[in-house]
This record gives sequence, C-alpha cells and structure tokens, in this order.
Amino acid sequence: MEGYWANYWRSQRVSRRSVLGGAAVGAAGLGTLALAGCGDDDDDDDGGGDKPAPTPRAAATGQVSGGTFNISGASGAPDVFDPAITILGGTYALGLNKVYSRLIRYAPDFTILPDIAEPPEQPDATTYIFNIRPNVSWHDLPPANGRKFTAEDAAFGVSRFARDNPEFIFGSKLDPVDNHEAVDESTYRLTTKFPFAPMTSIIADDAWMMINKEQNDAVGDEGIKLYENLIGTGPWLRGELDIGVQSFLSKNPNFYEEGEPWIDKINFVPLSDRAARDAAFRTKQIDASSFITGLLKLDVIALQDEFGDAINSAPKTLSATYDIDLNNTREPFTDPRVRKAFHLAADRSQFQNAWGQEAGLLMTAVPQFFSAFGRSQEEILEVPGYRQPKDDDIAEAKKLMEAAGHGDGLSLTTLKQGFIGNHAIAFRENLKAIDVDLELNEVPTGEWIVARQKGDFLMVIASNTGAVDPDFYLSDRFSSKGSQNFGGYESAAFDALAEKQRSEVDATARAQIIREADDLLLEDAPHIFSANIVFHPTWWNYLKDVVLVPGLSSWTSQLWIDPDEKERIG
Amino acid sequence: MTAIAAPELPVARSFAGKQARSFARFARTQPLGTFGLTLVVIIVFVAVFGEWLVRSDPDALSNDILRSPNAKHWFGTDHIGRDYYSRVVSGARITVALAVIAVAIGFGIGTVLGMASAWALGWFDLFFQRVIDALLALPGIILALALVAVFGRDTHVLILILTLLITPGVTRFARGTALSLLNEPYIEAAQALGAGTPRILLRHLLPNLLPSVAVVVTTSVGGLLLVSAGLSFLGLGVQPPTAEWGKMLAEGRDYYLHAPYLAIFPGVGLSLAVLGVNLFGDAIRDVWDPRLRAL
Repeated sequence: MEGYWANYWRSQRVSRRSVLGGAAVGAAGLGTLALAGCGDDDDDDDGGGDKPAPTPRAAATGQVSGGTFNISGASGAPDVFDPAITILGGTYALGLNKVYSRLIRYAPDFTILPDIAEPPEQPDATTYIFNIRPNVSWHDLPPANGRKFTAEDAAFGVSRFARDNPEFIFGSKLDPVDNHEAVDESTYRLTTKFPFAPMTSIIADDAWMMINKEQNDAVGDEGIKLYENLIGTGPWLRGELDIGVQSFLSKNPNFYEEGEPWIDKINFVPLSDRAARDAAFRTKQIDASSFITGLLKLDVIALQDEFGDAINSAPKTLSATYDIDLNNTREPFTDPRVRKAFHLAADRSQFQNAWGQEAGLLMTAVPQFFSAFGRSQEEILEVPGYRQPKDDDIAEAKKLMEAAGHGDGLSLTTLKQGFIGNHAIAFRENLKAIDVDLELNEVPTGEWIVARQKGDFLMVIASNTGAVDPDFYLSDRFSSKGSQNFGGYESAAFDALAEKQRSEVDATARAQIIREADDLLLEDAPHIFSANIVFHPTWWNYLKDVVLVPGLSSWTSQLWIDPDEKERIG
Repeated sequence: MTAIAAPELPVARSFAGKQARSFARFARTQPLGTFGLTLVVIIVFVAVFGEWLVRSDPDALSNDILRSPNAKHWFGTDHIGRDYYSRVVSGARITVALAVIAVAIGFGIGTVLGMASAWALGWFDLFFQRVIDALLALPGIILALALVAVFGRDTHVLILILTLLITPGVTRFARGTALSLLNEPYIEAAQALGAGTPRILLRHLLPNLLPSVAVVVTTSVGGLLLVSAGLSFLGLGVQPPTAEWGKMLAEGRDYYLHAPYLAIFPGVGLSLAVLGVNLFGDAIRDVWDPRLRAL
C-alpha cells in the first residue's frame, strides 16, 4: 500500500540540488523558494556509493572551498545543547543546527529531503522504512571516533525523544509509534499503531537530531546538555563557545555531502544591539545577519538603498508564532462569549504595525504557509476579527461582552514577553474599544514560560514554537490532552476533529477536516490567533547558495564565499 | 473714633517690589541661571499642564506609522502610529515627576539622617556613616539591577532606586554641614539657655542647614533626570506603553536611520531639562554660597 506521505511527498519531492538552484536565484521569499524545489527528482545527487559524485551544478557554478564565514551570533546565552529539551534559537544557531543532523529534513516548502537517510518508504499506512545513506559517519571524536552511522543509531536517536525524562518535551509526539527496529545495518523501520499523517514531518522537524549513543551512555542526559560533549554527524565540528565574546565551529572533513562544507570555519560574532548588528554588517565584520532572526525589513530597505545588489535578503517565515494565550479555565475566559469578544476586538492590522514591516504572516489556528491546509491571506482577511473596517466586529464584541455580564467593562492583567511588547500594547489599545482595561506585566522569559506551561496565568502575550505539520497547531495546542494546550481548552467536538485529521492519509480529505477544526477554533476562540513570525535574513552577495528554511533550522554546509565577488564588492 | 485701616497694601507692594528687585538682580548677575530657570519653568509647565497640551491620547494607535513631522502630527508618529507630540509632552510629566519625587524624598530623608548623625555622633554616627560609605561605594547600575531583580520593573521601584541613589550623598553632605553648624556660637548659646534637642535641631540647626543642602540637591536634579532616563532606556524603569523620554529614546534608537526625529524630540527635551536644571542650580549656588558671594 502506498501511504499518504509517500504519495504526498513524492508528488512534491525535490532534490537537494534543485532547492539550491532555486535559492541561488535569490531566495526571494518563501513562496519563491517553495517553487524552486518543485522539480523532478530523477537527478538526486545522493545516490549510492561511498561518496556521491559532485553535482554538475557544483562544478558549473564553481564553488570555492575555504574561508571563514562570519555571522551574527546569538546575543544571549544558549541554554542546553540537547535537542530533546531546548527550543532556544540561539542554541540551535550556535551548535545544534550545525553539529547534529537529522534523518531527513524539510525544504523551504516543507517537502521532505534526504539527510542522514533517504525519505522513508511506506509499504503500508503504518510502516516507515528509512534507508540510511552509506557514507554517513559520526564525527571523528571520542567516543564515536568517526564510526559509521547505522540503523541502530537511527532507532536510538528517534526513540530517545520518548525517553522517560521530565525535561524532554517532544516525547508525546511519539505516542502513536508502536515500534522502532533496526532491520539491518542500514535499514531502520518505524511502525505506528495506526495511520498517523504527521509522522514524516515530525521526524524531519527541527529538533529531531541524532544523538550519539556512546556519548549519551558516557555522559548521561545531563552531559548531553553541554557544548563540550557535542558529537554529531553534521557538517561542523564543535569549536569553542565563549558566550558573549566569540564562538566558532570548524569544518567536518568527513561530512557526507561531497565537498561540503565549503567553508572552513563559522565565526559567531555576538551582537546584541540592533544598531551594532547594522554597523557590523555595513563594515563586513559579519557576512550575514543571523539566518534565524535576520534583520527588520526597515533595515533591509535602508541597506538595499545604500548598497544595491551587493546585498541580498529574503523573508523567512518561522513556524514560531506571536500568541495571545487565554486561560479558558479562569474567569472571565470560561465564557466563550468573552473570548470571542476579545478575538473580534483584536485589530490584526494594528498587530502588523506593532510587529513591524513584513514581520508577521497572519494566521488563523493553522498557519497560511501550509498552503494545502491553511487559509490564504485573502481568505483570512475576510474572517471576522481579521477583516477591515472593524466597526461590525467591535459592535458584535460589545454585544457579547454585555451578554456575558461585562457591559460595564473589565480590568485584567496579562503577562507579556518583552520581545513582542508592541503586540501587547496594540492589543491593550484594541481592548479599550470594548471597555476592557488591560494592564501589561512584563516578566522575565523563564517566568512566563513556567506560568504558561503550568496554566498559572490569566493571559500571556508571548511567542511560541511551531512545527512543520498542521497537526501541531491543532492537536498539540488545542486538543484536551495536547502538550501545549496551555489555556486548558476542552471541546469534545474539536478533539474528535483533531484525532480524525491525524489519522487521515488522504491529503484532500485531511485538508477538509483541518478546515472544520479551524472553523471551530475561530468560533470558540480559545486563543487570540495572530501570525507566524517573519524575519529578514540578509547577506552580502559574495556569500553564495543561501537557502532559508522555516523554523529553527538553518542550512550552512552548502554555503560558499565567492572571492572574486567579495573583492568586487570591496 | 475713626478706625484707621492698617496699611497692608504698601507692605505687600513693598514685599513684591523687593522680590522683583531680587529677581532683577539675579537676572542681571546670573543671565545663564535665568535662562536655566526659564527652561525649568517651561518644562515644569509642560509637565503640569501636559494633559491640556496634548492633541490626542498619547497611547492611541493608528495606521499612520513612522510619519515624519507634519501639520497633523507635529512631531510625526512612532513605529506603531502614536502621535509623537502627544507622547513627548506626556513624557515630560513622568520624566520630571520621577526626578522631583525622588529628589524630594532624598532631600527630606538625607537631611534628617545627616542631621541626626551629626547630633548623635558616637557609635551611631560611626556605624551609620559606614552604611552610607557602603551605599556610596555601590555602583548605581548594580544597585538598580539588584532592586529590579528583587522588586520587578515598576515606576515605584524606579522612584526607590533614584531615592537610594541620591539619599547617601545628601546625608553625607548634611552631616558635614551640620557638624560645622553645631560649633557655631548661636547653637552654644541655645544650649546654654537650656534649649532641648528638638528645639536646637528644628529651630536653630535646620533653618541654617537647608539652604546649603538645597543647593546641592538642586544641582543633582539634572543628574537624577539622566539616571532616571538611563534606567528607562535600559528597560529597567518605566514600562511601556507609558511615555517617558528615556524609554522613547530607546525605542527611537531602533529607527534612527528611518525616523531620526523619534530620538531627537525626547533627546532634546531631556537635554533642555538637564541643561536648565544645571544652569539654574549653578546660579543659585553662586548666589547662596557665601564663599562664592564674597568673590
């Protein structure tokens, strides 16, 4: 039986080369990048043999080896270097994304690409067979000492996420998994208890990096958190991490993609201040802004005005979201009328101003970047709460507040994250239209995260992580047992829809169920849906083959520096 | 018998005339101080009557974002479409109020503690002055960070921080001046006549102490304005959406290439306020300090 994902992804599967080719054109936006990958996969460059042959494109475009890539590093301290625990972008940027690699990875348009393994074959709806690529080995560091990556490693790496460790946050994603099995040295078979549509996306998602078993046995889960114990299969070897000063990674000479990484070293320059980042970029102390957080559009426009085509930039839509969490178990949000009134009063056009120019991609419950499942921008702008002008929505919101017994107004306090302070200010002003006085209480990051996870809050205005499958935005966030259902929303009707869509292997039928679930969430308004976060990574044009992917991932092994172009730019 | 009305008007006129002559002399001998006083009066006027001077709600959003100054928005609009003139005017109130409240509290507490320390001497003075030494040795920013970590970011905490920054210096100065005054013959005379401690402190020491302390405090208001704005600039002070010049400078810094006026207007306001207070403070020190007056 051909499984859903086998059909879905194969129909859209892209080669690594075609993605790079598209990106080289200019990486001009997520949509453009998505199109870049839609080619035939006959020319995959990851075929058998110990080392795949260099791609013709590589030869034609003349990648140059060597050089140091200077990039804006994370300004704050990274937390723990265990992908089963962290969701911090800085930790990903400084180490995880570069030292580790995943069994498979997703392209900018969410199609699945090979990484350590080929995209899985699905002999039936519940079986996924991953064929490990023959030339993958661990870093040549003890205790792995450069040994070959095997199916046992894949089984260990995936199943480790479900280990009984209270700090591991992704374990529930493997609940539908029935069995992990190393069929032979290069074949890893994963079986689910029932057809589970998001399975492949989960394995390809940002966090699902392969940890070395010997190292884990030697240093334990506590040791895996430490930078000095990083041993992976990725393109970069751990270097030095001097927080707030400088950090670097060096090239893994045994990386499994032929010729890659082209660059010898990545230097992270900590630049916490936006003006300092801008100045460092202008003076070429850094070759690129961070590929995760990028620059603001305003800064990009100014740079482009000044330097023209010497610089390049593209929007990167993160799977992460701007969020306003309402605690559905506490007054007044136990009343769906109040929640709906808040949803209607929220002025998304002002939210967009607050995030900054082109800094947010509007979404309902399901992000619009899932073109097969989410509402398009045009559709979203027709939805009550998102549409303009606001008059009808405000009138309706007032009626709902009055019916809920809050016609005389309401005073509330919300926790807020500093990073999206303007979002909170905008919402506070919006709520004045329905006589709600919202006090903003900015608290340190750790505090609101803990409060949100424990459900110990009334409102939280903050960002949240995302994923590369719509299931996360439905089941995880809003089903009654969802791991990120912070607001305690409970609806039997929604639970049924959430369960149904994850088991539906037909893409069209699944899209229909997802739309129903999305409609239900807009009606019940357990949450004020806002947008996915958009940044604008920017780089000097001598940096070649830049590819931007959503989420916390960033691709760096294919990057190379064109010395002629660098000299021309000066 | 015909009652004769008391000649109040001439007395009042005489008093007003005396004040006017004093002011005229001040203006003539201290032109910079007069300029400073003018700036202070304007800033205080804006702070007090700002509510009537603003053109719209300083927190109200619009879709006119980052508009340059124009007829509709005299100082332009900020990154979320708020009228910047209204925010600058509104920001004067909180900026000035913070400094004034902290100075008033610091002045009161510092003077009382300094006077008490000078009067008591002995172990109390020794111990208390070491506490003051410790506070003076503590870098202001460290103190501010510690207090914010403990109490959170709040306007009241900011006032507490500013008060703690100014009080030790005032205390130390008040103690030194009080020690000197306590050796004056009129204090000894009061003691010889059997005056009690409260009477000596409140009737004889305090009135002679206040002018000197007031000069020191006045000259420190400018510094306090900067500290207050600096803490808000660092995100440790007044929290958004409240308009405050330091916070506005911080927000404006992000747009310095595209909307430099966002930093210019609060920056100019803050500079003028500090300049005014400093010029005025220097002038009254010149006038009140007998050593400088002799020169």
